[in-house]
This record gives sequence, structure tokens and C-alpha cells, in this order.
Amino acid sequence: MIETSLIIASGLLWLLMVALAGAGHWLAGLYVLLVLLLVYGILGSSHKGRFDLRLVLFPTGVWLLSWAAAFGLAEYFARAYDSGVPAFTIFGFHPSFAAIVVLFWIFPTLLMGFGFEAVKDRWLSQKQWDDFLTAVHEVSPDQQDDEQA
Amino acid sequence: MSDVVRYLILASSFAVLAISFLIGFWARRKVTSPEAFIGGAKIFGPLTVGLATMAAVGSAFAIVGVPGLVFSTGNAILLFMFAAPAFVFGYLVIGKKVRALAEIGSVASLGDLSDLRFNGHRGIKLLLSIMLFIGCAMYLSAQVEACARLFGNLFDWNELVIAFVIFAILIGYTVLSGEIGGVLTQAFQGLVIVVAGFIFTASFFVVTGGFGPVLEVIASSDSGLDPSALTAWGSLPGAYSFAWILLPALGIMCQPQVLTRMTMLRTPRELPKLSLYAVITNMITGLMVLAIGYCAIYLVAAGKVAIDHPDTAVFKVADYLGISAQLFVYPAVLAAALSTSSLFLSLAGTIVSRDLPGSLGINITPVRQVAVSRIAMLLMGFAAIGFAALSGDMVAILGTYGFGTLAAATFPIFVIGLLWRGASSRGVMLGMLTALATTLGGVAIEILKRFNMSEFAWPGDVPWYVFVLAASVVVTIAASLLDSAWSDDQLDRRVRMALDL
Repeated sequence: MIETSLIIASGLLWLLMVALAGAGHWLAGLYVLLVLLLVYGILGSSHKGRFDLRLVLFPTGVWLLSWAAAFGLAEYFARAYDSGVPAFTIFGFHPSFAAIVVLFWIFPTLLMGFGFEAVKDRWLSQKQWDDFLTAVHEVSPDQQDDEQA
Repeated sequence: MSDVVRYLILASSFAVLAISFLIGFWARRKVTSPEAFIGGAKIFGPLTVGLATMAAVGSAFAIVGVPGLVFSTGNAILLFMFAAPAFVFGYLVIGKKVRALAEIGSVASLGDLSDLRFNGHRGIKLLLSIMLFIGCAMYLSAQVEACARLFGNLFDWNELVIAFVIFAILIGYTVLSGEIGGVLTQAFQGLVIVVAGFIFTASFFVVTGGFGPVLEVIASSDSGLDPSALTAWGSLPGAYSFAWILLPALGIMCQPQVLTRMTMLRTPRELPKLSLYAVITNMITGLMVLAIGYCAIYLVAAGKVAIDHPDTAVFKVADYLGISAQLFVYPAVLAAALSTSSLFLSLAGTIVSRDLPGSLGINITPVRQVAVSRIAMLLMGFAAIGFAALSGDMVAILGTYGFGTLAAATFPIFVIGLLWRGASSRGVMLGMLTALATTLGGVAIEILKRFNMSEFAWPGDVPWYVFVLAASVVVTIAASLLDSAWSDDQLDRRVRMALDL
């Protein structure tokens, strides 16, 4: 039931996101995209019908917050220096783009890469995988056909 | 450029081709069954698959197209390149379910995965095959364009001749060893790209002194280059930034080059390591294309180089940097084009020899599948060359077309279908029909606009594939909800276990 509600929410978010972008509010559409990614993140954390919110919070949640900050800062500095050279640079970049380099690219990429490795057992333990293999091989295709018949 | 340098570059580029061919030749020993040939071998470790995935996703789109767009329109396209966290997200969200399905039955293609999830629904498989074929043609056309630019820059060879030569060699090693050779050669090609990435980035810092001087030279010159292009959103309408973040964020996880590689990994417990290798190598590639794009802007603004077409930016910059950069950048472009092309050629072969006949109830023997696959690869080569010639778009734009079309084809099946048991066969079928119809409509409109036969403008300047993707997702969900005949009890019990994992 929760799964279906989340999928319905995702469909509505898709509509909202594209409608906003189509109406010219593309930055608002990007923030809706972050919520949509969060919904898929929650759905993907499900194990036997139970959602693992700790897995959603880290690393996915931190990544999405980082992207939200990147969009905000990128837009702020783009507007502040939109018609010429900025008053200062960060690592030699326009501050608007520097926000993207740091908060959209380098930090969240490393966070997600190493974070996934850190939560590996929570995501899929060796026991869960072994149990799955045992259960799958116990159910032969013939047995399955009988059940469906 | 002297003739000696030109032939040295040609030799280094063909060395990549020759080594790829030898790897493919060697790998044929590992092909123990038709399924293994097509892609059903679960024998690879995370480093091999990580490099192969990065190379196949990166493609010539990244190395030729992205720097070209950075040079001509600023930073917006880098948002696409920098969305590497989406790789990890994809593995986190659907990785273990995809890999678990590969334990249930013989999974050698995306059609096989679709069969498992949707009880062998032929309509879904048929539509998936058609959509993947269209997406393959678009993506391959980007590689054709890139190869044409590469050799055109060196020798002014005819585009058709170049495409024929490259595809002949590609098909040669792909038919020898199938997907096993494909993964190994892509891993090697990924390594070439990474090495080129290090060398080029170092060269960039030597020439420009860093990223700061690029901004300064634009500000102080009369080059006419727009400083606002160096903001995060570049000089294109903001809707492009939106599309180029959305597309990788949601689309990477369902790209064929990512999905098929998940099923070839020894165990899903290695997916975190695979994602780490994929994103780190992707970051090196990202740094390289950023450096190439900025270097092109710097050299043009400083009046040191003239760039007549954005897709030649990478070559002009390499030529300016000298022989050390040229000997690595040209082969890297070829490696990127080859890695993606071999994957999509294999995919096209699999579609035509296995998935499409299966969806029509035609059974082809494994031996004949290989022969049909070869013919399909040839046809796909022609289709890609034709699409590249007809559309006349830049490499990066062609790449985004392919990326969007492939995402629209696979998202309903492999994201909604794996995350929601309520996704019914009829719902997904309707979603895919919507995707097919809107893709054909979108491409037709773009081609009409190319020939000044239409003035249609997409709302908010949002690229057409975003609407295609959204329409397919929304229709899939709505139709599944309305499908009262569907119950998840109809799923194979083992599939339910995989979705529960």
C-alpha cells in the first residue's frame, strides 16, 4: 500500500516537474527532481516490504541536500554576476560554477561512492544474498508452474 | 601538423584498435555457450565491469561532444558529465534486484529480464526491441560523427569511408567474442581514456596555468566570448540545464550499458566496489573534458587557435598542446567511440537475433542467432551512418537524443517494474507505446525543424525527450492503477523474492 502511494506520488512529481520546467520555472523543476529522487531512494531501500530509512538518509539523503545547496548557490552567484566577470573566483572558477564543481560533482560523487561501500552490509548482507539463492533454487520451475496452474 | 606526427597519431589510434581486436580474439575462448556470447556470463569482477561501464556510458559523446558544447555554449553540458552520483544511486536502488533476476533464469539480454518480470509478455518485448533499436541508432550516430571528426581532422577523409572502416573492424571483433570480448575490450578502452585524462589535465595546467586565467583572458580580450557562459548554467536557456541534470540523474540507472553490466557481475555484493570504480574513473574523464573545453575557450580567446566547428575543439586543443597530448587524446576519442559502439552493436544484434524473434513467437537456433546478429550489426551500422548524415546535429546533441530515447524505453520496465509490484504488463505496455509514439513524433519534429519545415517550439525550451520520458512514466503508472485484472500474485514466486530483496 505504501509502495503504491509512493509510486502515485512519483507520477505526480513527474507531472509537476515537467509542468514547472515547461512553464519556464526550470530551477523549481530541479528541486522537484530532488524530491522525486528521494521517493525512488525510499522505494529502492525496501527489503521484504520494509523501508530502510537509515539507508535513505545516508548516503542518498546527504547527496540530495548537497545538490539542493549546489543549485541554490549556483543560481545565486549566476544572478549576482550574470553580465560580466565576477568580483572573485573559487579555484579559478566563476563562483556559480564553483558551487557546482564542489557540491554537485566532487563531494557528492565521493560521498556516494565511498558511502555505498560503507553501508554495503545494510544494503545487502551476505546472509540475505545466500538466503535468496537458497530459496530461489529450492523453488524449481516445475513447482512454480504447478502453483500458477 | 607534419606528416610524421600525423602518421604517429594514426599509428597510436590504430594500436587501440589492434589491441581491442586481439583482446576480442583472445576472449573467444571464454565463450562457452550462445548465452555467454550474447551476454549471459556472470564472470566479471568490479574493476573490469566498472571500467567497461564508464567507457560505454562516457563514449565519444563525452570526449568530443561535451568539450565542443563547453566551448560553444559554456558550462551547462558539464552538468550532464558531473552527475556521477547517479551511477551509485542506480546501483543502490535497482542493482540487487536486477542481479537477483539473473539468478532465476537464463538472462542474456534486456528482453530476458523483461520476460522474467512480465511473465514473457511479447508486446513489451517487441516495443522494448523497437525502442532500443531506435536509441542504438541515435547513440551510434554520435560515435560515427566523432570518428568522422577525428579522421577528418587528420586526413580529410570521407565521412562514409571512415564510418565503414571503423564499423568493419568493430564488427570483426564483436562477432568473434560477443559480449565477453565486449566487456574486456571496453575495460581496456576505459583504461586508455583514464590515462589520456591524466595526461591531458596535466597539459592543461601547464598551458593555461589553471582555470582562473581562462576567465581572465575572456574578460580582457575582444574575442566576443560571453563571460556568462562560465556561470553554472552556461549561455543556453535554463531548460537545458534542467534536462541535462534530469537525464543522467534518472536515466543512468536504466541505460542498457549499465543494466546489462549489472547482470554480468559475479555477485551483487560487489556492486558498491563497481560503483566506486565507475565514479572515480568517470570523475577523471569529467576533469579531462572540463579541461579540454576550458582550454579551447582560453586558446580561442587568446587568439592562439581558431575553431570552426565545436566538435573539432578537442582535436584543435590537442594539436596545440603537441605530440604528447595528441598521442593520447586521439586514441582516447577512438577508444570512447569504440567502447560504446561495440556495446550498442552487440545490443542491436541481440535484439534482432533473440528478443525480436522471441516477441513474435519465432524460435531461432543458437547457431543461427549468431549469423542473424552479424547481419543486424551491419544494418545498425548503416542506420547510424544515415541518422548522423540526416540529422546534422552535433555529437553531444545526438548523444542526448540517444540517452533520452533509451531511458524512455527502459524506465517503465526496469525502474517502475522493479520498484513496484503493481506495475502491470498492460500498464507497462501502454507506457512503452506512449514512449514509442512520442519519440517518433519528437524526432520527426526535430528533423522538420532542421529543414525549416516546422517552427514548433517545445514548452519552456525543454528538450523533447524530457516530455517523452515523463509521458511514458505517467501513462505506465496510471494504466497499471486502472488495470483491475492485475495482481502481483501473477508474478513468478522467485521474481517476487528478487523484488523483495
